[in-house]
Order: sequence, then C-alpha cells, then structure tokens
Amino acid sequence: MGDTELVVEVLRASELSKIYKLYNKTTDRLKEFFLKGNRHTDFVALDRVSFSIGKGETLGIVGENGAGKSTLLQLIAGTLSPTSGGVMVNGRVLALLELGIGFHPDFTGRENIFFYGDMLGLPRSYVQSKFNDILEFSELGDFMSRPLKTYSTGMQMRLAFSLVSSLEPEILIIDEALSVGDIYFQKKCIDRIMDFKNNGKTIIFCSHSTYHVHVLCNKVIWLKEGAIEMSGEPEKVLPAYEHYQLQKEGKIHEFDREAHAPVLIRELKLLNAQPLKRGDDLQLSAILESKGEENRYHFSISLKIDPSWGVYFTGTHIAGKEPLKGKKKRIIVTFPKIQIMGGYYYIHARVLDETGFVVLHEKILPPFEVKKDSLERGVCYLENHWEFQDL
Amino acid sequence: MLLDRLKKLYKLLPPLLLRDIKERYAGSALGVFWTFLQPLLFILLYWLVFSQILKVRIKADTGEIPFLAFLLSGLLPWFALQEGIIRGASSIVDKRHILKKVIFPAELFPIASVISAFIHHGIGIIIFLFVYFFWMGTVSPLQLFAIVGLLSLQIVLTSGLSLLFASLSVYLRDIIQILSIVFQILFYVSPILYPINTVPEGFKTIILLNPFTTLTEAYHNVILYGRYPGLSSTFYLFVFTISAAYIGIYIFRKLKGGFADVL
Repeated sequence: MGDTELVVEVLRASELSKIYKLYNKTTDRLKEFFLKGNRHTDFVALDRVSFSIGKGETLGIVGENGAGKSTLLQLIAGTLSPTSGGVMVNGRVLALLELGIGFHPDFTGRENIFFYGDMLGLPRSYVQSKFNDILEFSELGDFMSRPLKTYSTGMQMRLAFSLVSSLEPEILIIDEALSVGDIYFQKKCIDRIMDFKNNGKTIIFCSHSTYHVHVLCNKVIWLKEGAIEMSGEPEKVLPAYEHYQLQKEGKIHEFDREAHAPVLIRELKLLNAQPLKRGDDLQLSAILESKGEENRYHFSISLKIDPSWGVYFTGTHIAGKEPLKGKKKRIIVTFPKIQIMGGYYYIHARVLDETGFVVLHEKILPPFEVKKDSLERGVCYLENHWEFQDL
Repeated sequence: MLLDRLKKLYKLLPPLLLRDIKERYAGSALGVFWTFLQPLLFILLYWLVFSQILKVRIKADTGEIPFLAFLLSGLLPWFALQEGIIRGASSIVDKRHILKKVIFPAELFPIASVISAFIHHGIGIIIFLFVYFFWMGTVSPLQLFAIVGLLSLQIVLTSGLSLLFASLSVYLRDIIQILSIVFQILFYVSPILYPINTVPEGFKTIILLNPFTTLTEAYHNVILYGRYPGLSSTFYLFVFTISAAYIGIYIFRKLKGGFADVL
C-alpha cells in the first residue's frame, strides 16, 4: 500500500488497558465496593495497546494462551469495558468470540437467528432477507428448525459464522472459530473471509494457525503478556512469533491436529549430518500419511532463518505439480549446493489441501546449523566478481 | 442522548419479552400447563387449610367477604411480585452467555423478567377481577383506576428491586438463594392468608414493618371494600417504590461495568 493512498480509519484503539481485579473471595469484591480498603490484587491482562485499522484491512492477532488476545477482542467488540484507554469504532462490529454468540440451547436455529438480530436492533425484515443466505451457507438444512442443544459444536459454529458473516458488518471479529469446523467448512469460511476482504470490509482475525493469519492478514499484532511485542507486516511478525514459540518449546513443535487431519506428516527429518556447510546438498525426507485413498494434497516447505525471516518457500502447488495422493508417501526434497551463509536455519513443512489454501497438518524441525566458513556476512551467498581498473 | 437510549431500550424490550415467555414454556411439553397449575394448586391448598380447616373469617362493614376473594386479591399480586423479583434477580447471571458475547443493555433482562411475570400472573388477576366484580354486580371506575394505579406502582417497585438484586447477585450468587427464603418469610408476615385485624397487638408491629403489608392492604381495600388507601399509606407506598427504583437503578448502573469481568 502506497503512502499516498488514503486509508479510511475504521477502528482505533488508544492506550487500551484492562486490569482485572483478582479477589480471593467473591464477597471481597462487594466489601471493597461498599467499604473502603484494598482487598484485591491486580492482574494486567492488557497493557496500553494502541493500533488502528483502515477500511478493508485485515488484522491478525497472534500470541500464546493468556497473552490477552481474547480480552483485546472483547474490548473491541464492546462486551468488556476497558480499565483505561478507549476504542473508537466506525461502523457495525460483529464478533464471533470463543465459539458462539450467545445462543439459547432450547430455541431452534431459526429462532436464535432472529433473536440475535433483535438484540442488535436490526429490523426483522432485514434478518428475514438474509435468512436464506444463512441457511444455505451453514448447510444446516432441517436442523434449522431444531433446538440448538441437538447441534454438535461444529454445527453451532457453522450457524454462528454464517449468521455473523451474513449480516454485513463493517468490522468482523473472528476468534479462533475456524479451528472447530471440519476442513471443508474451514475452507468455506476462508473463502467468505476473502470475499469480505475484497469487498472492502475490515476483519480482525485471531488464530493459532500462523498460516491462516499469513494468508488472510495484511497486518499482524503479536501480543505477549498483554502488550504488543511486535506489529507490522505478516512477513515480519509471523516468523518472529514462530521462532519465539519454537525456542520456547525447545524441540519439535507440533500442532494438535493429528486426530482430525485427513493427511499427516508422519515423519520429517533432515538427511544431512550437522553442521552443514555452504555448498552441501540439503536433503529433507518427509513421510505423509493420508487417511483416505481419495485425498489429494500439496506439500510445502519453508526454510526460515534463525532468528526471524523466511528465506525460501516453495511447495508442490507452487512448483506446478499435480496434487499428491495415496495412503502413504515418502517425499525427498533436495536443495543442491545450498548457497546459504553460516547461521541457524529451520524447516517448516506443511500439508495443504488441493487448493493450497487450507493447512491440514504442519511440522517444524528444530534449527540446524550451517557452519560459518568465512568473514562474509548475510543470508545468501551471491556469486561475486571483482574488477579493478586503474583510471 | 437519553431519549435515544430509551428508544433503543423500548425497541429491544418486546422481542426480549417474547423470548422470556417462550423460554419459560420451552423445553417441556407440559411447560404451559405447569406454570398455571402450580399457582392453582397453592390457591387450592391455602383455601383448604385457612378457610375450611382453620376457618378464617373475613368481616367487613357490609357483611362477610368470602375467603377466596380475600385470598386472591392479595395472593395474585404477590405471585407477580415475588416471581418478578426472584426471576429478575437471577436474570443477569442466567444470561451471562449472551452478555459476554453481544453488546446488549443488561438492564433489560431483569425488567423483562418482571414484565413477563406480570403478564403471566396478570392473566389470573384479570380473570379474578372479572369474576369477582361480575359476582358482586358493582364496580366503580375509580376502583378500576386505583387497581391499575397500584399495579403500575408494583411494576416500578418490582423492577427496582430486581435491578438491585440482579446486579448484586452477579457478585454474590448466594443472593438468589437467600431471596427465595426471605420472600417465603415475607409472605407469611404479610396479611395475605389472614386479615390484619386478627393479628395480636404484639405481633402487629412486625407485620406492619413489612413493606409489602401496605401494598397488600391497599389491594384489599380497593378490591374488597372499595376504599382508597389512606394518605399515609399512599405516601409510604410511593416513597418505598421510588426509593426502591432509585436505589435499584443507581446500584445497577454502578455495578454494570464490572459484570463482564465477573460473569
């Protein structure tokens, strides 16, 4: 985005803080309220967070559990009030927070849709005009006229996402919701979010999947212990965040998706002896396992440098290969004569669906070392020739 | 600003009310049946014990008033009052799944509970008044006016108290349990099951201390005797209602901001 382009600001958070008062007993809270004296300890969930989002931008929020992501989203959605600071919002904000939007289990999907509209103060006729869209997108069919308590978690999420995204909010907040649905619906959601984005709407997206954030967002905030650790372009923030996570866990980082993923990376290893030298053939072996014969998938590899940046990314879909299939497959990738300089690098491998959009499974290898063998510096080795001419 | 807000509240109330009424009957096929059967059973029980066994007699200048008429004129408004406050008190805690996820004026939940309790028991009150006045063969417009006035006063009183208890119970859930015991006690120290003139002098002060005694007596006077509550008790009722509403709104507004943190 060029500097001259005028971006209409739709949301601005300034010095947003949320301090929870923690009490040992609930009665202490009332006592403190009516009597004087201090009976609590402060817990800073969010510490002076400021940022702004322009129209049509998609903001990703990453961070560990307890970093303050949900608190931040709730403050933006207006369901929590800040201890200090404020949020300025321009337009309707709809939020899909922690699965669901306050559905009543005894009411049918249809009744819940209309009640949600009522609560937002939307005219019934407007909600009615969106009803078919919601029904169609959620694919709930006959379940629409059954009580919510008969729904599975995935179905509730489908209803919630369809509803919220059909009501044309100016700003859409999505908190982790995508991790619940099946892969098929995940893809539908992502497509819809893409549409949203293309229609100039603003999205705030919070996910554990850095891949989704990467694909969808043009700006990322990394929250750590309630404060912004880093913000900016995804290319800058995400590798740093991934690296941080990696360091924290110390070894192979694996997402807890094994049970659900239709295709898994069963094994991922480096075939080289370490440390490597510049000019070695970097060789990587992966074993992929598919739960069904019919699954078609892509495999991607990203080489990242310790500490932060992506060095090189490629995949079967990028290299123009047909999607892979088969129950069990070994893939050996060779990067002949790697021209990377001394330092620590790591490999991030992913299995994607046939569109290359949805991550089915991913694995990150611990960093490996490339020996430093000269005084040259940098990431890549560039051929260089020198000429000296006396003039 | 305030007008806009009130307008919004007014717009949101009907769907919420509808939902509250539906909610009450949802989930069980016998739902509707039960909610009417329960008060009927209690009425039958009180009538049996107090009129037939204990032989409570209600004397008036014009002769004896049937116990059932006496009972219903105090009991039916009491049902609406008690249910409104108790359901209202737990309404915020019960609706936390909504309040945590959607921006919504929380004060509407207790108010909707109060009004839906009134609608529910209002049906009983209307049937009773209709049958009673038809049986009596006489009713004055002023009497009806006074009844409507008392009921309106009661709605304001009930709303104030349920706002108060609803906001407190967010921080102290026990309030909901405590309230149902307190209202049980208040019920027996109100002159609903017995006329106040049969109470021994020593206990009378206790009965009169109960703020709901004045309300019950006002209903008795208006419906049964066609008398209007005296100046002092009218004044007392107004003061009690207005302070309940004021305190309720004040405490609710003060505590509201912290709801989402605690729920």
